[in-house]
Amino acid sequence: MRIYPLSKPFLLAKLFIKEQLKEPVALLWIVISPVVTFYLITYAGYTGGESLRDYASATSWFYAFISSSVALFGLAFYIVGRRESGFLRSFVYTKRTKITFLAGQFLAYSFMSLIYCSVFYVLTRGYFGLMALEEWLVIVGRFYMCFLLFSTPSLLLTLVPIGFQNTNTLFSILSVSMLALGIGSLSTSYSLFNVIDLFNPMGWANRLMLVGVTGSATLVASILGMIIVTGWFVFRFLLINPVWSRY
Amino acid sequence: MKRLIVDALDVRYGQHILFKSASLEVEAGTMIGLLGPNGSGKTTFFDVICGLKKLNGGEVQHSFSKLLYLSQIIATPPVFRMFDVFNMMMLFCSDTRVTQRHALEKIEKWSPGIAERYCEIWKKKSSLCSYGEKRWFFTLSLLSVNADLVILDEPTAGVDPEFRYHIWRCLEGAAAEGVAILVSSHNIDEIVTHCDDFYMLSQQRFNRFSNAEGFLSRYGGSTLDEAFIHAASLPRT
Repeated sequence: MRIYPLSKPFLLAKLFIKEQLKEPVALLWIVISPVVTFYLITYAGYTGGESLRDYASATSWFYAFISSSVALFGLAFYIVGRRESGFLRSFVYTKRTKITFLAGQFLAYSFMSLIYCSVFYVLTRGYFGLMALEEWLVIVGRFYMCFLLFSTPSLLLTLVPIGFQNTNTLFSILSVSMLALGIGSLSTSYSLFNVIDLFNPMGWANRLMLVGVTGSATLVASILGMIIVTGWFVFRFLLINPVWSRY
Repeated sequence: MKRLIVDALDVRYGQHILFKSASLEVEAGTMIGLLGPNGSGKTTFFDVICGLKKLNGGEVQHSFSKLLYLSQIIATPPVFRMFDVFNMMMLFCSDTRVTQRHALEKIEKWSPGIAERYCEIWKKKSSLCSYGEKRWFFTLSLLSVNADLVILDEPTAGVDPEFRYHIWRCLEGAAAEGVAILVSSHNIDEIVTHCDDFYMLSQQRFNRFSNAEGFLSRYGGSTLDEAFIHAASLPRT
C-alpha cells in the first residue's frame, strides 16, 4: 500500500510520455528541424577541401538549442498549458497533488530530453563516422545537464501570470534570442556581444557540450543547486487558476 | 459527526465584496445544494474551501479526512482515451489504487444499468467524447473514490436528462453511504428535488432552505425561477 503513493509520479510521468508520443508532429518538429538545419549548414559550409570538424564542436550549438527547446516548449510550456486548460484547477490544489504533478512532469520531460538527444545523435553521428556507445553516454550526460540548466529559467517563467499564447511568444523570443546572441558572439569582435555572451545560458550550454561535465564542475554544481531551489519555488508558488479566469 | 462549518466568512477582491459574514454547514451523509446567480461567488467559495483563496475574515473548518472537488472546467488531453483520463484522475484523487472494476461496483450499486454506458465511454477517445459524456464520466468516477466530502461545481451543466438522472442517483447513493456532498447548479428544480437542504447565495450570504415552499415564501414569486430572480436582484448590502 505504501508503494502506491511513492509510485504516483512515475505512473503520471508514464502517462505524460504517452501523451507526448501520441503527438508526433510536435515531437518531430523539435528534433527534425535541428537535424535538417544541421545538414543544411554543414553542406553549405563544406567546400570539399578542408577536413570535417570533430563531431562535438560541429553539433554543440544544436544540442544546446534542442535542450533549451525541451525545457521551454516541453517541461514549462505544458505546465502553462495544463494551467490554462483548467487541468491544474481540477486536480492539483493540495500539497500532495502538487508534488505528484511537478515530479511527474519533471520525470516525463527528463525522459523526453534523453529521447530527443538520442534521436539527434543517431541522425547526425553517421556523417562523421561510426557511432559509439561510450560517446553517446557522454553526450547524453552533457545534454541532460544542459536540460537542467534551461529548466531553471523555464520553470520560473511558468510563475509569470501570462496566458497560453503570450507564453508561446515569450518562449519563442527567448529561444531565438539566446541562439542568435550565442552564434553572433562567435564571429564578432564587438565587446558588447562578448559581455552578453557571458550571461547567455545558450553559451553556457554550448561550452558544457564542448568541455563536458567534469570540465565544468562549478557550472554543474550551480545548475544542480539552482534546480533544487527552483523546484521548491515552483512548488510553493505554482499558479493553479488559469490566468484568463476572473480571479 | 463529521461536518464542514463555514462561519461568518468574509471574502473580497480589492474593493469588491463577495461574502460578508456568510455561514454554511454540511454534515456527513447529507447532500446540500448551492444556488446563486452567475458571478455571485460560488466557484470562489469552493476555492476558499480548497485553500486556493484566502479568506478575509471568519472561519472554514471541517473534520473530514478526504475532500474531493470537481471543477466547472474539465480539461482532458485530447489524445488520451477515457481510461487514461481515469487513471490520471485517480493518481491525483485517490490514496489507493482504484480500478475500473472498483468504480463499476460502486456506481452500478447506486444506479443499476449504468455499467454498460460507463464501459462504452471508458474506451472512447477523449477528443471524441461530448462535454456531457466527460462530465458524467468524471462525476461518477470521482464518486467511486473513497472521499467523505465531495464538492461538485455544476456537475449536470450540459448533461442530457439520462446522464443527469444517473448522476443524481449516484450522488444520492454516495450520500446514503455517509459521504457529505456540496453541489452547485443553476437548475433550481433538481437542487430542490434531490438535495436534503439547499442554500441561496444572495446579498453576500448563504440563506438555508429545506424545501421549495420556504424558498418561494422568502423571496416571493409563483415559480422557483421567479423566486431565484427576486433573490438575485436584491441589493448587495
